[in-house]
Amino acid sequence: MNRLLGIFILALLGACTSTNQVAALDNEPPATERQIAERKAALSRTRQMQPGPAERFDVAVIGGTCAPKVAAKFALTACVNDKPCNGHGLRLADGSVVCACFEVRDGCEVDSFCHARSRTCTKRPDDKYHVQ
Amino acid sequence: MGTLSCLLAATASIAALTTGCALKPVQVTGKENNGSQSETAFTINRVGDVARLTVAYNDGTDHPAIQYTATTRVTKKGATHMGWSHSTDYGATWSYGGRITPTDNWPILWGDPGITHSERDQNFVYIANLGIPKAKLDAAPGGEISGAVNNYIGGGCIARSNDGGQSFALHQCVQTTEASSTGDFYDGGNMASDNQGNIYAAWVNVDRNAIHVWRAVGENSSFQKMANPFNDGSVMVSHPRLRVNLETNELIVMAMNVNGELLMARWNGSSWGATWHTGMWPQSYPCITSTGALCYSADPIVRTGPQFSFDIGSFGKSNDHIRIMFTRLSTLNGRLFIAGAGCNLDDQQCQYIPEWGTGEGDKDKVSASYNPLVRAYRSQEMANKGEPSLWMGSHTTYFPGTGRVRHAMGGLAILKDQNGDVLFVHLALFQLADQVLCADLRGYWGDYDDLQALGPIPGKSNVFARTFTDSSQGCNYRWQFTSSRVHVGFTGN
Repeated sequence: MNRLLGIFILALLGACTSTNQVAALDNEPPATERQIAERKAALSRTRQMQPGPAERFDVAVIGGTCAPKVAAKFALTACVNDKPCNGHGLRLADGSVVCACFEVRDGCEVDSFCHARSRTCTKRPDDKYHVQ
Repeated sequence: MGTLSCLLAATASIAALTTGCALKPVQVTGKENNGSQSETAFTINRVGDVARLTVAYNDGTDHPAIQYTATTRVTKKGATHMGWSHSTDYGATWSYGGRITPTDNWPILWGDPGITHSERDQNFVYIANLGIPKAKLDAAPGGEISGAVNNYIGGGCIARSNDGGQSFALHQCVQTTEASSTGDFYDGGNMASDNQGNIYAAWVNVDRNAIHVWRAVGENSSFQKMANPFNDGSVMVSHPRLRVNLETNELIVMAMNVNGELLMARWNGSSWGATWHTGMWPQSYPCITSTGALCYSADPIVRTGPQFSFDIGSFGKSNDHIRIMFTRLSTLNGRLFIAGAGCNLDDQQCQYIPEWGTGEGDKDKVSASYNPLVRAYRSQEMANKGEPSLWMGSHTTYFPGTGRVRHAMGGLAILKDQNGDVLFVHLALFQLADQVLCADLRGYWGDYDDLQALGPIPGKSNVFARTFTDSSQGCNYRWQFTSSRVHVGFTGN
């Protein structure tokens, strides 16, 4: 194992000789079935990421007939349970859908909008952060 | 000594050996007129015996069509940020290429550079930026834009070089009119190509929350919009990133959806596959305050998008795989850190591999890491021996105590111990430390850093290099739309 590590590091440090970047690898020796199985197993879904509450959301509704119009880039609005929502419909663990802007329940205040990228309520009309 | 102890000892030894592997920065730009140059993307193409590096960036050096008043920025017809520089000595010295000239129909060329060269004919190099069409500029009061240009961007523009990157001319501007009759708001361009002459460019259509991919079938062809890559109705919010598996010519698009998950779409040459949900959830475009804590809009010392990077490598023929690096937020200390993931291409399984990242740190950690990058490299000789790709990751860390940042590069390894158990290892190999940070008040400073494998260069092999925004000349000015001094830097191992 140490030998493997050494080879890896030497290669990254540029101590090996090499030729050109390649695409087709016709000369490559075929891997054995065991090698293939091992390589596949190395990246199988045995360890899954456990996202935190600020990382994973279940956005169920965007837009809709009663969604309020917000003239701001990156703004999310929705029609949730037949009511205008300054945000999006968020599906909760019990399956119900409520108006929210990611972690902000009931959506954003009237002087702000729900920003799709920063996942926060952002004051209108200013979005000094994302402007080009 | 146990296997793990051996590994740690070996790692420590190597770390000791490589502590001195400080990267040497090279100044790419800065001799031009006053103004800033930032947000970089680069490529290396080889034509005959000449290997040329071309770096594209937002060229904000003085231009009569962009004026900074006491209170705002005024942008007029003829403005262009589409700049580039090139090098034929593997980045030791650079020539300023200039800026690409807009047209009457697309009178302003803006930022967010993407770059690629044709893998089939490497004389052809392409740069993609955002564009402002005439119809939108005409609607601006007085025919000029005061302040932000978001409401006027209406597509993307692609410049092309047919001499390997020495000169460029505007090739084509593209737009859709799904939400706006004068052009939808495109953002965050990226490019890639395959061995068959297909050239790809992609942006996020912010107005439609969709990724738009455009393809030119051949170096001289025009770009045509492809079908929606995420065809399951996914609402896409991040910039897209493109990579091509050069063994199969399959295109892969990665972007983040509104739920926060990284999704992939695969183009096999004739159709898109089903949307691939990776199960990885990065932080979305957060900024960092001077204390290292997270912010979303107020008082950013630096902003941190894009929040992910990926590449396609090989364990061996027909066993290709993907590695991802992305930004996460620690619930322990409230700081950003880097995590990794690896995905099998054949069964579309992804495994979370935090070992490839920085680690979350303890509750007292105050530094914040961002701008993850990852690239694979495999030479013909390595392939002939059945050796897998080499992988290099890179990221930037902000240190509140000094107010400076460090760019780090390190290897990402999969090893096996004597019991046959798999070990994932990150080896910190190279660093460019104590760099001056000089973002404008929006936080923009280098969020388009790039990492590429240069392959063999004279006297060395397996070289990886990165571009970055360079403020080593000092930061004497921070304002809403600009800061100084900000130029383009290059470094590699």
